[in-house]
Amino acid sequence: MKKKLLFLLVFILLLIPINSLALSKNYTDKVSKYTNSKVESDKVNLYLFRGEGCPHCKEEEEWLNDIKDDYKGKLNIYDYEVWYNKDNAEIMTKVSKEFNTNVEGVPFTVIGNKYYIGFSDTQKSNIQDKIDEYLEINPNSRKVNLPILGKVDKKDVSLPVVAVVLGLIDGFNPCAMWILLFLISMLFGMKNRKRSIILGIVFLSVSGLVYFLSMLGINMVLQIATISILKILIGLFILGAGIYNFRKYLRIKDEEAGCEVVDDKKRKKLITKINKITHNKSFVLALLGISVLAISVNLIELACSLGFPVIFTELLAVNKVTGIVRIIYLLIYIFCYMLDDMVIFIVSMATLELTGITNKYTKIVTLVSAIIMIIMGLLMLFKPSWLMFNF
Amino acid sequence: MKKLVVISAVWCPSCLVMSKYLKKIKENFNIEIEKLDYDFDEEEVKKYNVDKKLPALILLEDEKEIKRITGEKDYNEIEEFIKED
Repeated sequence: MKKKLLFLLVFILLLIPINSLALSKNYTDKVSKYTNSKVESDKVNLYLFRGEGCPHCKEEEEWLNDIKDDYKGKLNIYDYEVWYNKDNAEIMTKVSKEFNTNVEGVPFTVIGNKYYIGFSDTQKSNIQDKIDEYLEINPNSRKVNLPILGKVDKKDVSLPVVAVVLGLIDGFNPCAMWILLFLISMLFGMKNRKRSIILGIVFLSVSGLVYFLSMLGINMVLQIATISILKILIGLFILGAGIYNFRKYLRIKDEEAGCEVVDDKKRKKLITKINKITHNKSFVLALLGISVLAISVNLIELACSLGFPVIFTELLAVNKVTGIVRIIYLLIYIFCYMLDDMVIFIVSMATLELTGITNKYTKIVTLVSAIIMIIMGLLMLFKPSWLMFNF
Repeated sequence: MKKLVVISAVWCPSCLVMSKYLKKIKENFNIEIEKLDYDFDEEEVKKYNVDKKLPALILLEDEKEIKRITGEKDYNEIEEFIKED
């Protein structure tokens, strides 16, 4: 066993120098003759022509700075401002002629014998794939295969994991669980089983949809809110929610687990409401009623556990996740958030016996939530760059 | 004659989790169990002066309360509760 380990170790050590010296034979620097930049035998030079004040250029610049560290000194980045600097503009014209084109737009990126105009997510992976190719790095080593999302950069893995973890913890928040249990028990009383199952599914779907739309809305606000004062307010809000939860934990820590009887009046009102809905002769009216119930209940619940949705949508915002990917991340979060509700509904309907989930972990969930919120709040206030998962 | 009064609610997950333990208790011990619902048997529940924690297990002997426990308990805890005197 020891011998095998030793052999493996020697083998790996042998690989390292070979790996680090590797540079593809296809690599030629076509720009250095115009810029007089150094061409080193084991490094790749990347040339970025940009305009001062051009938003995409700034984005690419920041992104290049992020990925530079990943290549451990094997990637040199040279950048030239061409809107205000005439010499640089001239270099850019010469370089574009070298490639037999006439490039005028920025950002204009050149690596080896390839050039890229503009900057987008596709361009990102094109550029990175090219660097990998020249440095003879297997591009797949950067990526992992995930269900639903497909191939994802290792750097971006943190977000789906965070979505699952935060969603699950948020789901354990017992704010509106009792309404679902109540609804199920009322559904048992209905003679028509098909109807009762449809009503339950509609309740759960509308609940998920409301939560999803609310989070999307919060995210859109956070996405455009670059004003630092708002960021500080969000950080303070999360920190406050964390402290609130920690105090709640201190209060319940020595109590026995169980169910707290609260809001007698509110509950009585809801009981009559649900009763009316499930006994409504018109199925359409019942569906309508259950949807309205789901909407109102979930808006209340959102207020009850606003901390986690805000944390997650803020994470999406600072990591500049937009478009379809943002929708997928939110759906992952919502799925995990609804998981306990779905399990209870399915098991109850299948066994015709109302099932609950133990409350014994409520204390731990409260403590964990408090700790996560406090850490996230502090990071948002003092180290927002750590939330960008650029480790 | 001993009797166990269980006050629970349909909306209370802890009560639901415990219902299977109580079924087992009924099988294993010869004890009468009376189930009351916090919302639907209001009048009955009032008699027992339940405070804010559910479920509440109240042990009676000849219709007189001997002791009670509240909150989520597992099978062993319920067993201990009805056995020890």
